[in-house]
Amino acid sequence: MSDEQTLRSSELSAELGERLRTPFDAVLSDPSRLRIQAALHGLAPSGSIRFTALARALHLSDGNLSSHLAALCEVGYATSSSTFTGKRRTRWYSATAAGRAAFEAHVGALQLIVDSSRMAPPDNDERDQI
Amino acid sequence: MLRGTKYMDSVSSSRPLERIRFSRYARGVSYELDRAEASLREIGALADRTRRASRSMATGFPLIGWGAAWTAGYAALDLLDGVVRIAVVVLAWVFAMLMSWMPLRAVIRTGVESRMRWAWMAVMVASPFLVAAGQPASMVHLALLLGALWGMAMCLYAITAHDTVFAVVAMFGVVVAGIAGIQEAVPALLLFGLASGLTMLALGIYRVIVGLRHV
Repeated sequence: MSDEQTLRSSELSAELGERLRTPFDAVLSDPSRLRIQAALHGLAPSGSIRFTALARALHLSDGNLSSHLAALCEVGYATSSSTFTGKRRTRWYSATAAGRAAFEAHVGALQLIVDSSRMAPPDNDERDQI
Repeated sequence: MLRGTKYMDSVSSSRPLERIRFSRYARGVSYELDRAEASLREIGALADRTRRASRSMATGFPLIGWGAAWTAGYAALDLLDGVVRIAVVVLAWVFAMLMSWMPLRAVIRTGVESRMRWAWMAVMVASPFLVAAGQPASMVHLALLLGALWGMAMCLYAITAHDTVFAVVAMFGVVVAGIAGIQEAVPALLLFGLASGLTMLALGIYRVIVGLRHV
């Protein structure tokens, strides 16, 4: 292994170790919540999306989506508002700044682990030790 | 990883068996990695999907409106006369204004719709004052100046919204207005209306189709 590779590997290991000291976001560890947060993350910073459109985009049932959105709103990762057209109520959902930061950190940590695993396959000696 | 740990714990001292178990462990880790990568790809695609849909819904119908209005309106200014010309221009403007209200009924909001309306109001109010200050040499140059001004306003909005394609299309309109003003080969307003109007119209139609497909 060259010096450059060794240096890069050690830098990566340090970063990976640092990330692993902080556990993944517990709320976003649920795949459905992560998908919902991803969909909200794609909106403009002050943008919002209708509940029905979100359910259609994610292929989730209303009940399922509602319970996950409630969990995200409870921890402050998403926020909701309502508008009325006559008596008809429309619910809008958007990502908060805290939700955006948590999503980016969670995805970043996932990506780092995947990248580092791909970059450093076990060599023959390590296999034998296992 | 959990699966790998289980295999590591159960490794025996027998070398062939160890290799078989490692192979299973490696396949397990690889499978988990593949799943993680697929998940990351899906997350990226979802965020991209709502980003595109949001952009399409905010700009699709207004682009269709203003693209059609510029194409018909500027062409009418060059090709028609009298009352018919005024009627076409007014109808084109009304159509564009109506299409500009469409994003309010969209299923995705940018959250800046109200501020956008005020910004456009400022551009419209400023237009006659800019014309008075610039004193264009003819009606053709006046129409081109207004087209360039509104194109520039669209370009600035697109830049603040990180909408590169819209920014390029809007800036293209400004450049065409400048070129149309100095060339004499083609009727200036017709050239400007067709070149910039049809470009906006095409982008608007594409975005409406994309917006409908994504959400």
